[in-house]
Amino acid sequence: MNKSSEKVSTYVIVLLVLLMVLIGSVLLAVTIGSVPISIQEVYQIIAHKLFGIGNVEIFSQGPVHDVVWLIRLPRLMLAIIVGISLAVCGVIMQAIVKNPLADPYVLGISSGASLGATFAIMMGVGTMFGTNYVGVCAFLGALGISVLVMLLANVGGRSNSIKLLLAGMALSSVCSSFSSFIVYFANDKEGMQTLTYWMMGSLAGAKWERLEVIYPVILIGVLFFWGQSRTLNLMLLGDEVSITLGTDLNRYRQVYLVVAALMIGFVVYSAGMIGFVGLIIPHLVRMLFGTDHKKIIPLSALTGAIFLVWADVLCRVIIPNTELPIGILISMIGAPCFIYLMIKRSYGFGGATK
Amino acid sequence: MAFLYTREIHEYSPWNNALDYVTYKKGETKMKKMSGLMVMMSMVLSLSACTKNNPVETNSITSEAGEVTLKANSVGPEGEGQKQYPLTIMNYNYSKEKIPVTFEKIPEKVFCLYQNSIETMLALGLEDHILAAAKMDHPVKPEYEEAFSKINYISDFELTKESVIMMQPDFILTWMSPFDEKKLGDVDFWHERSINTYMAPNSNSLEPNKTLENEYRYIMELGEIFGVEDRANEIVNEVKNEVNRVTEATKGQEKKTVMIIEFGKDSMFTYGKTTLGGNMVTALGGELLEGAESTIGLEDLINLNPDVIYVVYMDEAEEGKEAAAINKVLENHALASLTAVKNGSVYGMPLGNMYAAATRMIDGINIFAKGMYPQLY
Repeated sequence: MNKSSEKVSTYVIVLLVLLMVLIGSVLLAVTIGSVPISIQEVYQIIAHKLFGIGNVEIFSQGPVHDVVWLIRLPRLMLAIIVGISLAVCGVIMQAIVKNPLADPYVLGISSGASLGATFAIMMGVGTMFGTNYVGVCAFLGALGISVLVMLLANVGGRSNSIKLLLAGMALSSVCSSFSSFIVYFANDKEGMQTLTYWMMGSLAGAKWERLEVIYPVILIGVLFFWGQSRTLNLMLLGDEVSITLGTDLNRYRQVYLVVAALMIGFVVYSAGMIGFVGLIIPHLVRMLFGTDHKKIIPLSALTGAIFLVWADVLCRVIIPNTELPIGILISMIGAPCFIYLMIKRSYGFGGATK
Repeated sequence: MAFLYTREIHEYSPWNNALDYVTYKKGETKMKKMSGLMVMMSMVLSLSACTKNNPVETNSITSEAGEVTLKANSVGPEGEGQKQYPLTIMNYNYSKEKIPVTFEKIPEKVFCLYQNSIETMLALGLEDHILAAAKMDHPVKPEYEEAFSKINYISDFELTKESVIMMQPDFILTWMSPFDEKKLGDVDFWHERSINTYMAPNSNSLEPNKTLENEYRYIMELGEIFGVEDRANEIVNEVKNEVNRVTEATKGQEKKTVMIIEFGKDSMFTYGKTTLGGNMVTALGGELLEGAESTIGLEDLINLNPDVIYVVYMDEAEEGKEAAAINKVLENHALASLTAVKNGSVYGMPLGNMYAAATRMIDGINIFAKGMYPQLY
């Protein structure tokens, strides 16, 4: 009894520390950018915006205000929510398909999104959706494919994690070959260029209006999964075990898949595709804190957010006057860290090796 | 093809990984060192171009035209106020829709991005209105060098909303691509801040057909915005007159068949009728084979067998690029039977002369015309 309460309190402390680190990271990161702005000015503007402190004339307009409040902060807020979303969906996907190699995009979502983006860029589909019509089409593609994967996995008997994975793989190849087909026949190199750039993912398009939509969706999704941590724990034990324990995972799996696809769809819509975070953060957190979903969902969310905030800062400053695509940077930093941890600790996915 | 031209294409090209990207940046510095040499070379080239009766250089234009220039300068952009401000020009947003852009006064702090924007401003004598300029592909034409030395050119410019806002321009003159959501964002963000924008009509995919007319419009509209219509007219007329001269002189002749190609990694791309190059060829009375933009193989080229071939190349300031481009056709034994190869009618064409060309439009026209009708020169 005593021991377990001690464990709970370490977990709570870690959670609080991570939260503080996240807030600190944002406050620090907001002062870093391609244009030098004094730290004092940055905080004056934020303080004015949040608490109405200071002179309205000076702090609510002008170029410095625009840079801090309309460019840097939304971008950081987007980094946070994308990080949360990718990390949590990574955890969920790995549980759904019971496979350590799964990431948020594994069940065809990335190819579905690419196909949507290809349609939008190459054939001008969906221009009525406004300036981010590519994002909207990618969102629809991602969601559509997830639903198809689920239907396909249920054809001819109950779905299980293997069938889901196979259906995901199959539809994924169908989508990517269709994308290639369109790209080849459109013969529009400018479009190809746009497409490649789009698929690399970037947080540069952040806007407050959009964040107002994304935040509620993602946070509700995270809370939902947090509430489902018992079922998620069962998923790691497999279908047979859970049936004997009285839970049929099949239905849960389908609901989780739709919720996760929706969350990732919003990430794709607002930031394109950012790989590796969703794969690495869940493993990292599991290595350090075990496999109980009750703990690793909030921990992954915070770690993912911190990781992405710093990755975004780094990709802006690491090469002067150049913004490195964030996906490249994440893999360059993330992979070695991951390998180090893997060697350092004996780690078994799902099983509680410690 | 055309899009390969811009630097950001290099940045995100599917064929380049991060490593290539870094080496490209290095290459850029190297290019700058070589630029002095290049400028000298291009001066020699343009001098030799001047030996024919048609003027290329602005400072060799006839005395009448010279007076016009003087007059335009003395009246100056702030002139007699014959221009009524606010002045509204139709331009585009990122969704390629036509939108009105209203100028309350002559822009004083212009941010120019890309070669055509910078050179056109200089050609119109507006260097005093340039706040900053960035992203050139090669040195300016020799006649603009002096003016160029007066402007604030930022060689390692990072195109972000942040950097442009802090610059506080009142006018952004560029292509369509910078207004991508991930770069500057759509134009309304800037218009709300009383910063006007102008996208060159022939840039990126704004207009389905890239034409000489669009280039004329580009120069004329800039002339209008800054109240220097006379000078703009001069630049446009120079091109128009040359096109007329060539078509008049070659009336009734049998049409030459022409192809504009560019070598990719292991295939060739053709520039079709919708490109500015294709439009130039057609305007000069040539017949463009393979009118659509497509990828073709050597066999197709042999089958089509055009009279004249233009090989497009980039980075024109780099030494040996033109010869290398031409030699890809000349030194390929499989192509030895082509009419164009036998007659020596294979020419190099710098992409800058036929893509959002503006001030270099005349150079493009001259190269095309000389290739098709060498007897005229």
